[in-house]
Amino acid sequence: MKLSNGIYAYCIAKFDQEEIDRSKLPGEAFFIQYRNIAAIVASVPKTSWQPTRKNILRHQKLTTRVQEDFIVLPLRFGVVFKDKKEVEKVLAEKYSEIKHLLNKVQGRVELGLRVFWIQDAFVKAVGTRKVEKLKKDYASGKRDRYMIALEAGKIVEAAVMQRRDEYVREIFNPLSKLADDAALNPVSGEKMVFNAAFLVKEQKLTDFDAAVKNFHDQYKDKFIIKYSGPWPPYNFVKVNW
Amino acid sequence: MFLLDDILLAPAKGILFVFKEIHKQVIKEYYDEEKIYEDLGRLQYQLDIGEITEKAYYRMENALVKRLEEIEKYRETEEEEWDEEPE
Repeated sequence: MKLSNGIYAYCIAKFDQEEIDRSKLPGEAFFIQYRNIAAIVASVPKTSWQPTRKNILRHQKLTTRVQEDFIVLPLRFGVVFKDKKEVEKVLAEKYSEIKHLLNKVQGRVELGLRVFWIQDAFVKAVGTRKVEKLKKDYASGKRDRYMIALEAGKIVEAAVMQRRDEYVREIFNPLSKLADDAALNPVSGEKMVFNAAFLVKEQKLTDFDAAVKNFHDQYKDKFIIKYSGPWPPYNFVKVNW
Repeated sequence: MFLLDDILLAPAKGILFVFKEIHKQVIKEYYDEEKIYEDLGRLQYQLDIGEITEKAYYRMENALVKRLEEIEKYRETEEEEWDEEPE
């Protein structure tokens, strides 16, 4: 991502009417239109698209705000165009692809579910007899400690992967059945059980919330469960710019 | 006396080569953008599970973003030097 000046793009929105109601766009944003679609953009200083939590939240907040009034195709954080002409060119070139994706996401939202082990539950989940034995060997100094640590690491890693698969089957799979689409994103740490996103029809939101609540009640002593949304469907639309 | 120079300076050249390689590797790792994005993801994870406070998160995030700025400047300098190379 090049941190130079340009036009920052948040999302693409679809309009049913000829004219766009400018009052429905949040403060800093303006639009660049092509037929019945428009890129929601802003001219912002280059520091605004550095990948900080604050900037990413601002991107999400603005896109979510636009989604309240329009059908939205969210763009990943950090898409910057050279100038207005370049945006117009891309919109014209990708018009059919964008229209197809807008139809796919119409009436649907994304929900995020990130699940983490609580420390005690993590130790219990990966603590095998073999690991206990290795711990004793390590303390006694009978064998090379580096080799013991390496061996223990491998055993723990295998146990974590096995447990993750189990919870994907127990939690992720049943929730996927309530969604139109579902995705598992890479985990970012050893105590993360899974990092999922679901594309859910707006009419099914209440059912989905209830299913997540059930899992939360069932696993709250074991896991920290972070349920978020509704978001624009970031994980289910990939436009190649 | 190319050959003789080479033989006489061989150990020194060998050490210099090792240092140059280490330097290259350090530069490569320090300016690895992907690694910084991974570290940012890891920070978010640590915040999520309560391993670090929000204050610590922002302090470390700031350091990583500064590294990204340095990479940007480093690349610009490299591009300029490349452009200035005589044909």
